[in-house]
Amino acid sequence: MIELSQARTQRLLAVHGWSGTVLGLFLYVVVLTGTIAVLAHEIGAWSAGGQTLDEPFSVPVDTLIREQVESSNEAWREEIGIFGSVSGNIRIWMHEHATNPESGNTEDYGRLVEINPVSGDVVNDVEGWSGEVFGNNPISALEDFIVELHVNLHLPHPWGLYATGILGFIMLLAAVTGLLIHRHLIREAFLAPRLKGALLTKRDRHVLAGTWSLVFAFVLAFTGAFFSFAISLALPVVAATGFDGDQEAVIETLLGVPVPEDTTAVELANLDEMAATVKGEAYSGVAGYSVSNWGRADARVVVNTYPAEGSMSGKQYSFEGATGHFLGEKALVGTAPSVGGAALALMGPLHFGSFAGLLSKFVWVALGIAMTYVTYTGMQLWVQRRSDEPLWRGFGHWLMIVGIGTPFALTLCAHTFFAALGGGGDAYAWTAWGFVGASAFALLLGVILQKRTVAAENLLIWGLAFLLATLPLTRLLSGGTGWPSAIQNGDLVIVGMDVLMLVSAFFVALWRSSILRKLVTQAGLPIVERSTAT
Amino acid sequence: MSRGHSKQIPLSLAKQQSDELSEAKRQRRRLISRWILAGPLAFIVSVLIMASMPMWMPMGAGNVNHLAFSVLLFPAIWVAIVMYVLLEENMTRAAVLLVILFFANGIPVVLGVMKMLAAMQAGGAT
Repeated sequence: MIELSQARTQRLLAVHGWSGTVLGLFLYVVVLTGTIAVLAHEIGAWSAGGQTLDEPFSVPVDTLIREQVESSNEAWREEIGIFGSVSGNIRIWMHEHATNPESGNTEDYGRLVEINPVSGDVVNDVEGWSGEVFGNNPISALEDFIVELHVNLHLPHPWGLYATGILGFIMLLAAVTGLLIHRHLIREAFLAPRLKGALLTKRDRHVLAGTWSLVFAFVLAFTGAFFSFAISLALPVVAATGFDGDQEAVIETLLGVPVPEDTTAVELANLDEMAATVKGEAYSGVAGYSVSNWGRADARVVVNTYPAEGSMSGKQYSFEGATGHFLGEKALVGTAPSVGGAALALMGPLHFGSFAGLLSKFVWVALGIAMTYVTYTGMQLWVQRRSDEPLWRGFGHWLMIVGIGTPFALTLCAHTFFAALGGGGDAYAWTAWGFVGASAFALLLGVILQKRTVAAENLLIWGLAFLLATLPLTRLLSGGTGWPSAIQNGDLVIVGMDVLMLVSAFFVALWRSSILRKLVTQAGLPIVERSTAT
Repeated sequence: MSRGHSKQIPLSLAKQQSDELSEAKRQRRRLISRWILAGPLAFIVSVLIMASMPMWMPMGAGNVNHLAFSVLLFPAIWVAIVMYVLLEENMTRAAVLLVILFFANGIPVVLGVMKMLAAMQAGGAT
């Protein structure tokens, strides 16, 4: 039990409420999209209609990669990233560092090739600046849209990162103040339902969900703020004070000491043989390769692996490119294993929930839903306590419009995305327009039904349930893979995502349908009281 | 009439009203100070602490501890400062502490930035 004076508790309560309310709507959008983005990889595989291979590097790939690299511009052999795509193909990003005349900044320019590792066919081949080539794979349009909304709120760089960084700080503050003001943490974690029609009150539900997701909220807010500010603020600041403003020098220090230059032409050793060497180590499957100075005496190859059983992050193994000589395990950050490097390497798995495959992802999604609920009900409580004031009543109306309008718009943009994929339209544009159109519809509904909040809420909820239930159908009608062939090919993620949509539609409908609620109650299952708009 | 009425207010009541007014003013001043200290100043001080950390923190075995911890601890430093200001009753003490942190970290940072600018100018001249 945490003891605080009454004045301090009141102060913390005010900060907890105001911090969650002033920027709460934006925080809600970031938390909701973050919860969905945990499944970004699965959304990608679902969009792609199946994967060529679950692990694209489980077959010999050296010849395929060598063919592409050695037929490309020689300057692009400076840095080559080789990794798997959402479709289970291999992507080769051959590039050099050059000054972009448009931005005036040093950026990566080169060619991105996607190859089917089984047939060897080139699936996609584009040339340009990194920002352009990575934003043009139609299959990734939905996944990219959701991730971009979560990371940048679709604001230009670096303003989007500043915005989400500040939201991360707000969430961190809400979590810490929440921890201190809820003095009976253990008791609140096992809160007994108050007998109000055998249902929990709205405040109790907020406290219950908040208590269980408190540690999670702290971890997410901390790692989220770290990711937003690390690139946009910390890197330039640390570079300015410690490295005479040289950001490249900071990155080189983080990645390890560069190899002394030797431009003598030497053929690169076999990549498959390097993968075979790695198999002798704590092997968990090759996730990709990074090659610097391909075809030169100073070439270095780093083999990246997936996280091994019981490990939070993958490993890196270093090889001399010219000889294929195994140099041993490479620290993920820095020149040797260190506490700082290990702590930095933990940030990703902790934020993305990717450290134990689908199991940890499902836990992260469940806790993410709890966090979304806490953010939303926190604002509802704040408004409800001030419902005498017209301004706060109005805010309550728009809170509902944004609260239900956001998942409504995200689901509609998934429909327009699949329609564009099937119809050959620009998937990026159609996804964005689907979201904008649905948001505009929700806002218009909010204006038209300004005095009838419950009616607007009902329309949006039923609309959301309908869109979720019909999404698998839209996917199928757009030429997506059917369940029989998905099961036959072992692409269970397609079936899983479709079922997830149908189950979500059922729960959204359950929230509003008195008939469904009666059926569930008769079956003896517990049911949560539906909220009414404030 | 009103002047006559005000003359009839007992001295003790007038003193009480004046005390209440000055107490309200004091409360308001404290609130504004707390907002400034926990808002912009806490953010600036935490950025300065992050910026100065690579200058004094040991590099460690991988030569990255000084960078990693300065970047990693930035959110923790910020929330620690904000929580301290929120829980501190004595605003003068909080202000003094933050000003000390501001200068203790700000001076090395300014010197580092000046060194960077000098290096950039020298690079431009050659």
